[in-house]
Amino acid sequence: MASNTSGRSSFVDDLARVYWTYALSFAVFVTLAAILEQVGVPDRVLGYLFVLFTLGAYATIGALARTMQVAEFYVAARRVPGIYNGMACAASCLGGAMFVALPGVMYVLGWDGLGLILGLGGGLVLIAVLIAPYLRKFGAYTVPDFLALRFGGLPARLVAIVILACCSLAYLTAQIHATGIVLSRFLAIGFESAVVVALAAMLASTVLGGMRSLTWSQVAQYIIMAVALVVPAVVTAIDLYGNPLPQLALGDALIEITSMERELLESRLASPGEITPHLAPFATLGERNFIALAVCLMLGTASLPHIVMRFFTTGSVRQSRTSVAWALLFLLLLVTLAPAYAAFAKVEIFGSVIGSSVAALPDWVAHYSGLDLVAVYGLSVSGVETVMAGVSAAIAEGAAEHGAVAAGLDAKAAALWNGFGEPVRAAIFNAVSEDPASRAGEVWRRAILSAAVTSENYAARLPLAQFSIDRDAILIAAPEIAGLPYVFAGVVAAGALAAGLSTANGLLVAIANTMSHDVYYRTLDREASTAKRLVVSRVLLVLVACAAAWLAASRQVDVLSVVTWAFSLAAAGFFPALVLGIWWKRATSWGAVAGMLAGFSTALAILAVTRFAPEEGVRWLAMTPAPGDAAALAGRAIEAMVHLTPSPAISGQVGWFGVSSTAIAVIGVPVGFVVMIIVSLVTPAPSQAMSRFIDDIRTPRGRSHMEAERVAERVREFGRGRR
Amino acid sequence: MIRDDRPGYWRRTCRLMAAALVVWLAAGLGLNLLAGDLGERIVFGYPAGFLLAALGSPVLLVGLAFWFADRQDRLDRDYGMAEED
Repeated sequence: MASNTSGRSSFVDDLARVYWTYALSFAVFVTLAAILEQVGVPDRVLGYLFVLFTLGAYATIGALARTMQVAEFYVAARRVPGIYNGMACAASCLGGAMFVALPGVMYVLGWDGLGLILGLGGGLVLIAVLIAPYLRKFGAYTVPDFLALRFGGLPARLVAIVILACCSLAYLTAQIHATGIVLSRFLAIGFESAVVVALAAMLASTVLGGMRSLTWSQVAQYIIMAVALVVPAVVTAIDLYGNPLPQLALGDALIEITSMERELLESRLASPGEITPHLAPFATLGERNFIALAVCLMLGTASLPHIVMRFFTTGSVRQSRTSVAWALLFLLLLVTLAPAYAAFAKVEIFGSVIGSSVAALPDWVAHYSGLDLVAVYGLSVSGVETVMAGVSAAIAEGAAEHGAVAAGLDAKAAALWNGFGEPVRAAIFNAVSEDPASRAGEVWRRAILSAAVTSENYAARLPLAQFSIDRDAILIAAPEIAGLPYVFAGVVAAGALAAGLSTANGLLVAIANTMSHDVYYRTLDREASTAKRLVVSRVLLVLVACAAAWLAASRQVDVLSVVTWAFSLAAAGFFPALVLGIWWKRATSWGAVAGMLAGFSTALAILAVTRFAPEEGVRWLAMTPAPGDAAALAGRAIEAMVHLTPSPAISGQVGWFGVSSTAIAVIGVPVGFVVMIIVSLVTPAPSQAMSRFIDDIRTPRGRSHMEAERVAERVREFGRGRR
Repeated sequence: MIRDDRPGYWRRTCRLMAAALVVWLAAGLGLNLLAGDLGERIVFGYPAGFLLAALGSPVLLVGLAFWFADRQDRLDRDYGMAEED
């Protein structure tokens, strides 16, 4: 099949050398940045250099992989070696929000966070065993394409397009949002401008080469993600336990955490209600929700089009299976670092933050407090900084005591100021009036000291309840806690950026390919020429990207909850149809259409009820709030995961059998299966031709259905050219 | 030995699929729940349950994926169903 692809660029033949050169030049770049940092170049400039280098690399790869061939544009001409495809898939699976938040979620949830690792990893096994080899043999360009040919035509294709568009667009919006947040932190620019930068980066690495550009830039992104997660973890593991394998050093850290938890309780720095023992299984989610969450993530991974389509690009059916194994290895290599990060952070926080004098907190606490990621006694350095300008102005105008300050503050500063306790206000006022040039960090230290003393904590040893840390900071602060130079904070941020972009690009290509192939070519204009189809694909790619970026910039989204919903909705819509379409010859067109509609709409309906009308769900649908004591805990867990206010009424904490709404696939998928099986059994069996078609995709040997179709197409086009 | 026996091939493929799914269930959810039962017990100085869930399960899943790819590949070749390169 490779014989007729002219214009292949040199790097497909020479991948190992290209990516080693790339990785080495990244290492050289990081070293240079470290030297620049020592010389005194400001952090912000370094941030710009990082963004320029990495985005430049992705754009270059995207441009090098440009193509004018349909098969290259949609499936990278099916010549991607399994191991590289595995890297690209791992980058696709691990999105930006997950990448940054996973260590933090593990930090909050302890044991129960392991359900996420299982969920992300387990789904790939399902793809390898049940789905990927067969779709690869079929030779599909998109997931709806397969469903349409297997289930006879337009209705199946339309339903599949709708499901794909819903899940992937929501997910894409969330990814762009996450990428925008990373970029705006990195470059210290506004969120909207950051979204525009993200959009430009996405288009640069997809428009020219579609799937081909996507594949090779995702491999490059995976390499950055791996460096960003592995290096700080290894350095910390050696530093703390002399063990270069973070996953093994985790064991020592856990033992230390258990004894620290006991000491905190004994010294009354924490009360029993405030500590969820890190090692206690199912303490936060409960066993049932743990299983539900894992299952939902697994089924979602196996159904989300941007992940499934990664396996359309491998060189053979055989490689599609090994490629999944590689993807799993590469993904778990990164994801299993999350519990280690969480444990190391807990050792640091329980060991040198909680219980130390508030006057002598480690430097990183003040630093990340300045980014509003850490607060002590509810006070952050950035908050103090916000009010300080107003306070100095008031002093300059002759205010003699803190009561006179409030009048001169702008709205944001005034809200903060009024939220501070009386003694804190006094402390800030005194600090500024004694030395108008004092830095925010110093003023903050005096403010928390006075807050501690006011709460009758005369020894000023910081109790657990008065320390709060943002979920994302667990990873972001890790290099600094480990004593690495600042450039590594840059490397971690570059990793987060790569994670966000790789998933966003994957989703973007999945949606745009479906729009151009299924909607335009297969449905609207079946006679369209190759050149026209490529133009349409590119235009649609740009339109979808702009629409999603606009949505991301204009709406506030809880990224992680949107991600879990996308997983659930995709699973409920696609999983039964994909699996039964391959494994059950008796599955009929109407069965598939009904099953997809039923599964998807059930999941969507439950989501809508639990999210927007939980009281109605309880009243009419016999839903129950998540049971007993677990309700409060689950509320906390969900809060940790999605940053919602933990009111059970709005965080979707109602459901059936005590399963939370984040795991609606647990109900949607069985509904889809049952409806599909019943409707299939009452409608006439598929034809002989269909049976032969299924036999065909079940056998690796021989030409795929789509290849035959494409030959016919080429002959037709050749004829047209002659006329 | 090369056979051209499509139903036989598919029967073996189904059996392999079922075996892989059973192992998947055991190494994934099963092991996590078992590890939950082990709870906070410390074995040889390590928190056995947590490590089993955090590391044992992922290692087994990766092993399973490679094992499955290898077995299915052998099956394809045994029955002469493999792609010709």
